[in-house]
Amino acid sequence: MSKALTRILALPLLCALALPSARPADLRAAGNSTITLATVADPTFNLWAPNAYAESDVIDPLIFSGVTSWALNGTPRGDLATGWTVSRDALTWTFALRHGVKWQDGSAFTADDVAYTFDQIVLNPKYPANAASNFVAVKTVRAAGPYTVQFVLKTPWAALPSYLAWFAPILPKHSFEGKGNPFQLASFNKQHPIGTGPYIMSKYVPGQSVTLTRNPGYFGTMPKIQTIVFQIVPQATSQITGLLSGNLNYIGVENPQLLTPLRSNPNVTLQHVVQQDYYYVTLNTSLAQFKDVRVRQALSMAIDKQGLIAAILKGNGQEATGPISPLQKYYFNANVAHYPYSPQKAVALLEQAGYTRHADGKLYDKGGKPFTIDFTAGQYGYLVPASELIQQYWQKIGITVPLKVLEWNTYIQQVVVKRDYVASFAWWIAPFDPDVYPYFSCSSVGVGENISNYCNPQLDALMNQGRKVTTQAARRAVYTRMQELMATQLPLLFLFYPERFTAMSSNLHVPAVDYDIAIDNIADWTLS
Amino acid sequence: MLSYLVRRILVGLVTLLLITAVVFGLVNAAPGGPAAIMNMNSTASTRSALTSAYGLDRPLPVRYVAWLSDAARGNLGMSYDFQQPVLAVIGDRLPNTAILAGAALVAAVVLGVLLGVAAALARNNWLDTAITAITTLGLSLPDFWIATVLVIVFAVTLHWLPSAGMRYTSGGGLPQHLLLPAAVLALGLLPNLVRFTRSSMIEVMGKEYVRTARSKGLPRSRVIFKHTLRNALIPVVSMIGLLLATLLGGSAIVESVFSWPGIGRLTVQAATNRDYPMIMGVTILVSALVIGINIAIDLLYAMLDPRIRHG
Repeated sequence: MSKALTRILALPLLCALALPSARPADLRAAGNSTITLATVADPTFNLWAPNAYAESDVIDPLIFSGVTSWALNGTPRGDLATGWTVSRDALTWTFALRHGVKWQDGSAFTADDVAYTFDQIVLNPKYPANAASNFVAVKTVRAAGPYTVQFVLKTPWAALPSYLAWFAPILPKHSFEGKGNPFQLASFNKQHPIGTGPYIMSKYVPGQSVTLTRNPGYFGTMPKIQTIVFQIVPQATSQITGLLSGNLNYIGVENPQLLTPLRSNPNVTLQHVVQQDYYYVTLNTSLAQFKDVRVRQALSMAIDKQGLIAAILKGNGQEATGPISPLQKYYFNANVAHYPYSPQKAVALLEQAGYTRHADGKLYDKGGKPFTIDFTAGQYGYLVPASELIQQYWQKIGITVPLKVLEWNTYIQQVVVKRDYVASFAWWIAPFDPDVYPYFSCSSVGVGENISNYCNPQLDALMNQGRKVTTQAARRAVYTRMQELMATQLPLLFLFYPERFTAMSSNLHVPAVDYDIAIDNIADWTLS
Repeated sequence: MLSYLVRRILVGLVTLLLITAVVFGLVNAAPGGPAAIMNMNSTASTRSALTSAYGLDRPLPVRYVAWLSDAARGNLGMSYDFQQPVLAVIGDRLPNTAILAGAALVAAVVLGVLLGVAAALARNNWLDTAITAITTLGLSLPDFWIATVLVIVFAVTLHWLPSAGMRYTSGGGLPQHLLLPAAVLALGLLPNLVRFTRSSMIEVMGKEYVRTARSKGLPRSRVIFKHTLRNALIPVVSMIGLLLATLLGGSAIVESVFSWPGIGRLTVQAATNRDYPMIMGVTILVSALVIGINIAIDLLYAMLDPRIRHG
C-alpha cells in the first residue's frame, strides 16, 4: 500500500482517537436531590391558554396551586382554600382562603386573585380559555373579603370542588391585569411564570428543558426533592432509552407494548395503577341504525373485551361498565348490566332488532342491504390496532366493517368537530368525580363532548339531579341509578379502564397512590 | 458578474414567492386545523373564538396577502403553539440545528473525501470493494435504525454517551450529546460523498496534466493532493453546498429520535399541530437557504475554476 494511501486511511482513526471520551459517571444522576423527568414538548405556563397541552398538565401543577386539590384517595380537599360552605339554594359556594400565602415574586395572595382568574380570564367571553366549558355553570366569582371568595352559580353544581382541583390553577392578578389577552402574555406564559405552588420555574431552555427549584415560601408540605428537571423528549422510545441509560429518573409509559425492556432491568422500578380514563366505541346515535338499544347491546356483546385487554394492554386493564371507574370507590356501581363476549347472543339480538343472517354468513337489514358499519380510527396511541381488533370481532358476526385510518388532527376534525362518522374507538380522561354531564347531556349533542350524540331525557334528569344534591350520600344514590341506566342504554360501548405505568430509576422512591395522580404526591418523593 | 448576481437574486425571490403561495395553499387545504381548535375537549364556542382569533375565518387569498405583506416587512406572525413570534422561535432553534449540521457535515466531508480518494487510488482492488460495500450498506440502512442501534450500544449498554437531548443536566456536555446524532447524520451523507469523490478523482486522474505531472517525476503524494484532489473537489463543493442547505432545514428523524431541539423537530411539531405560521416560517427559511446557498455555490465555482465566468 502506498504511503499516500496509508496516510489517508490513518487520518480518520487519528481523528476518532482525538475525540473526547465521555465519562460514565458524568452521565448518571448525581446523588443529590435533583431528579430528571421526561416531558414531550415545551410547556405553556398557563393551563387556561388554549395552546396548553398535556406537557403543561404535568409541569404547571407544580408551579401553581388551585382553590382545591385532590387528596391521595381522590377526594377534593382545600389547597389555597381551607374549607368551603354551600348556600341553602346550592347556588353560592363560599371558600375560605389561606392567610399569608405569597406569590413566588413576594406579592401577597388574596381572594382578588381567584376572582380575577375566573371572572376576567376563564369566564371572559373575549378569550377562548382552555376548559372554560367545565365552568359553564358558574355565573360569577367575587371576592367577599381579602380571604373569602364566592362562586355564584347559574344552576346548582355539586361537583364544583372537584372541578376546581382539575387543572384549574389560580393566576396572579397583578401579572395579568391591564396586559390584554392573557393567552398572548408570552413573558408570563412562556418565560417567567409566578405561582404559589411547591416549585419555582428557575430555568427554561426552549426545546430542551425546564428546571424547577423548590419554593422556600410554599405554604404546604415542603417537597424533599430540591430540583426537578423536565427534559423535553418527545418520543416514547427515546424516553425509555433515556431511563435505561441513566439520563432520566422517571417516565410515564402509555403503551404497555413498550414495557418489555423495562421489566427485565434491575435498575428500574415499575408502578402501575388503574386510571380514571375509559376507552369506548362511540356509535353515532344520530344515525337510525343505532337508535335501537338492542343493536348497541349486540355490538357490545360482539366485542371480546377481555381479549382486547389481553392483546392491546397485555392484560393491564379492567373491563369497563361505565364512565365512573372503580377508582371512585364511593360512587362506583358494580351491580350493573354487563355484556360478556358472546357472538351467538349478539347475532340473536340483532335478529330480534330486524337483521337477518344469510347463508353467506353476513347480516342484512330489513331492506336487504348488508349491515355495514364504517369504522374511523385515529392515529394515536393504540387506537389503530384496537380498532382493527374491533373490526375483526364485528366482521366475525357478519357485519361489514370498512376501516378508515385518519391522522389524529384530521380525526378530531371529522369525528369530534363535524361528527361525520359512523363508529369509532376513543377515550375520555374524566375528572375524579361522578358528574359526567358534559359528556352525555342532550345539550352537548352535536357541539360538546357528547360525541355519540346520545340524548336521553331520563339520563339528563338524573345527571341534573346529581348536580343539585350536595351531600355525598345523596349524590351516591343518584349516580348509582345513573350508572345502571347507562349500562343498560349504552350511550357509548364501554370497553376498558387501562392501567397507567410509571417507570423510575430504582434510587427514586415514589409512594404508591390509589389513582393516577403520581406527580401530585411529589412532596413525598425521595431520592436515595 | 454583478448583473448575473442581481439576476439570480431576482429569480430566487420569484421562486420564493411561488413556494410560499403553493405551501400556503397546501397547508390550509389539508384536513384538520390548529391543535388548539382540534382539541377533543374544546367546545363549539371555543373553536369559533379561536378560529376568529387566528383570523382563519377570512378567505384564503386575503389571509395569504396579509401574511405576505407582513413577511415582506420581516414579520412572520405569531406561532399558534408557542404564542411567540415565529422568527424568535426559529431563532432559538436554528443555532442548534446549525451545530448538529455543521458537525455532521464536517465529519462526513472529511471521512467521505478521504475514503473516496482511497477508493479511487485503490480502484478495483479489495479496498475499493470494501469501501463501496460499506457505503452502500450505509445508504441502505434507514436513519432511525442506525440511530436506535447506536443508542442501544453506546447509551443503554455501555453508558458512554447520553441517549438524547442537547445538554442533559444529569451529565454530559455538548460534545457527548452531539456525537451520536452527528454520527447518524454523517453516516447518511457519507455514501454519496465517497462515491462522488471517487468518480471525480478517477476522472481527473485520467487527465493529461496529471499524467504530465507524474511523468515529470513529482512525488505521488504531491500529484494526488495538489494536482488531482484540488480539481476533483470542484464538483464535490457543489454537493456539499446542497447538503448544507438540506441539513440546515433540519433532519426530522434524527432530531426527533435524539430529542435534538432543532428546526427538524420544530417542523414535525408545527405540521402535527397545524401551526400554520410556523410551517410557513420554516418553509421560507429552508427555501431561502437552498436558493441562497445555490447562488453562493455558483459564485464559488468561478473562484475555484478560473475557466468559469458568469456574465
